[in-house]
Amino acid sequence: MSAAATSKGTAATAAAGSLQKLIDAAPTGSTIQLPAGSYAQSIVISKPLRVEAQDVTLTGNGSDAPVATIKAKGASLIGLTAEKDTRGKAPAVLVAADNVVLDGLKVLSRSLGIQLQSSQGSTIRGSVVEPPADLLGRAARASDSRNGIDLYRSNGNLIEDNRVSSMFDGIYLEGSNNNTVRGNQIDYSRYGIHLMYTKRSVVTDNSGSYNVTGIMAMMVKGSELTGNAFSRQSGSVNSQGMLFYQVESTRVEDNVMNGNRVGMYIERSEGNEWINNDISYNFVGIQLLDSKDNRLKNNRFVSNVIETQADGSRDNELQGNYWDAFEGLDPNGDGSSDLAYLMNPFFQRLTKDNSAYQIFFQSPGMKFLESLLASGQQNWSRDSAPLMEPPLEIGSKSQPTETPMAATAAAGVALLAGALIIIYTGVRRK
Amino acid sequence: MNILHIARREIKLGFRNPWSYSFLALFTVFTLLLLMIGAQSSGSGYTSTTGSMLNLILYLLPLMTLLIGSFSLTAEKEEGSWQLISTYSLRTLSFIAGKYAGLTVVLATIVSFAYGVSGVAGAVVGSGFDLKTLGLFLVFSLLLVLLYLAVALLIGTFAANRWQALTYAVAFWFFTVIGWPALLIAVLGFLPYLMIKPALVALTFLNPAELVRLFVVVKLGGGTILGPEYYQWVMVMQKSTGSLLFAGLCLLWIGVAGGIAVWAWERGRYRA
Repeated sequence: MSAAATSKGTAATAAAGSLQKLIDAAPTGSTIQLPAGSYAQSIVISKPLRVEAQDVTLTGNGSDAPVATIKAKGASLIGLTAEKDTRGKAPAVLVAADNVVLDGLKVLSRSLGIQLQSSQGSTIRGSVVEPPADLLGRAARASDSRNGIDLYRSNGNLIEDNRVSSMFDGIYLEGSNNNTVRGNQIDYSRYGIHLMYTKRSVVTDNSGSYNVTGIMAMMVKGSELTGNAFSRQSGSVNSQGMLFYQVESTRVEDNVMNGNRVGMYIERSEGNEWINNDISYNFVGIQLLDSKDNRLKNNRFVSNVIETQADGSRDNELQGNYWDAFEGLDPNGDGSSDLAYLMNPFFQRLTKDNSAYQIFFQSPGMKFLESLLASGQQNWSRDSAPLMEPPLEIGSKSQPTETPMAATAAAGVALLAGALIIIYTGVRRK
Repeated sequence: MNILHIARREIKLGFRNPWSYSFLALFTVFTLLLLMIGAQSSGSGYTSTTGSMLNLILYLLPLMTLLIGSFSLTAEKEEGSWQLISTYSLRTLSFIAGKYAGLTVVLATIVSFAYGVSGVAGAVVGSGFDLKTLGLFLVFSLLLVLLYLAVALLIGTFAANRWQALTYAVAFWFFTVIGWPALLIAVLGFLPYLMIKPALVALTFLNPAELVRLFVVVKLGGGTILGPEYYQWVMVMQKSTGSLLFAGLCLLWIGVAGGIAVWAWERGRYRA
């Protein structure tokens, strides 16, 4: 059953509320196609309809209210461009019903993008959330608090293949359980994916860069974070690839964290697993603080300026990770070192007491001092059997670096020639 | 006789000095080692490779500079050539500045030769530094040379002979490069908490090794690792005006150290 709208409407000619009338007139359960055009209107879908809105742009009526609101269980909204140019607390698209499908939306918002309020079993797929062009390329300030896709007390939803840029939190889940966040791409936001008081989330195959933090997991239980890749998050003094605070019973596997300020920051977390992650080219590889009963295995740490800063985390099962700065010893040839990899907590403690000392980061004298203050090793965190070679099956997304050598060679020749000329003319007797 | 004569004489002496060639060989071998380390892992910006290379340069180059620089001045005293030169109408400032200029050329030549060799070698083998990294190491090394050379002249002025100069030079090198955090953490522990950061910043300005290291770390994009305490500094330094500011700071540093050297040398000249 289909009720095709016939009236051709544009922003200039359409009567106020014309789209809403079309929607209200459509029979329950039908598919309605909104006429293409740009409208200074907002819509409310309050019965189960499939609303197709390709080439339709809604700009709202200028107040701080959602441009599109979906209140009916089982309704879907396809292809709409929703522009909300007003600041405030209302999202551009509000979903306040169960089993709603949003597909291929383009949301441009100065406040929240898409918000799910107490929605169960909904799907947000293939959509784009961005602020207007003048705000692109930088994260929102806390005072704006405009999240891209915001789930509040919403369970069992699927957030898939969306792209969010330059918002506050790209995808924000608060008090929401059993959600799946898959294949999304987030950049230039504060946190890429922010999990807060959530349980049993599945966060998989997402990627992002230039956020303050890629994945921020706080008070999270029983979740899965797999196959995510977050890189180049080093622009802020609080940047991380992934941050875990009070996270429990969660599995973190096959993620790639390259070129961040801190690859993985873990604090007060218990009973989790970090397996097969690639943590490379970060300023700090992993920070492990006051955590216990976690399992870290088969992770790859390559070319991090400082590999670990660990303290108060002796009781973890750390085994078989690869640390490229570590010289192991493997007399029986089983591929793992008989010497344990020890994590000196000195610098972590020093900077925790007074963060001004962070100025000594990687200072040559700091390494000297650390080597002197190596007592109490029995209480240090340690990898009891570090790998001798990096595990092969991970790290496929490592930074490719193909540098043009001709320029370096030319510079080298120029330097060499200059030096030789100076030496020659310098020693020549006149 | 003027500053140019002295500089030219210094270059000539420098390249007839077997020390210069042993340092040249040492630093060349050393940069080739850096190249081999660098080839083991890719990745650009501030990584463990670039970080440890900066540290390795910090171990060797300041010491080299301090020794060559301070010995050049004490040699003038010990071998009596200063007695001869001082009979000419030559201002002490011209003498010291000429020395500084000449030694800068000698050391810059050594550094350029070494990076030239490693640049070519890297390109031949096919796994070298990229141009930006090579440039940054060169700038890092030259900055270290410029700042430590000013200190070297100061040491050469106050030391009566090579042995004294050696002692002072090694002490200065040790405390600015190796013992710096240990020294500061120990001393600043006596200060009230709120005074630690200002004191730390002020003292960092007195340490050429830390100053240059932090500048290069910021330029490599690693500034945020210094944390919120230094956010303002990092923001300023990241811009191109930061480079100008830093250049000004270096000039000030060289001016003050060199100025003290001239003043002390002047006193010695007319007292003797």
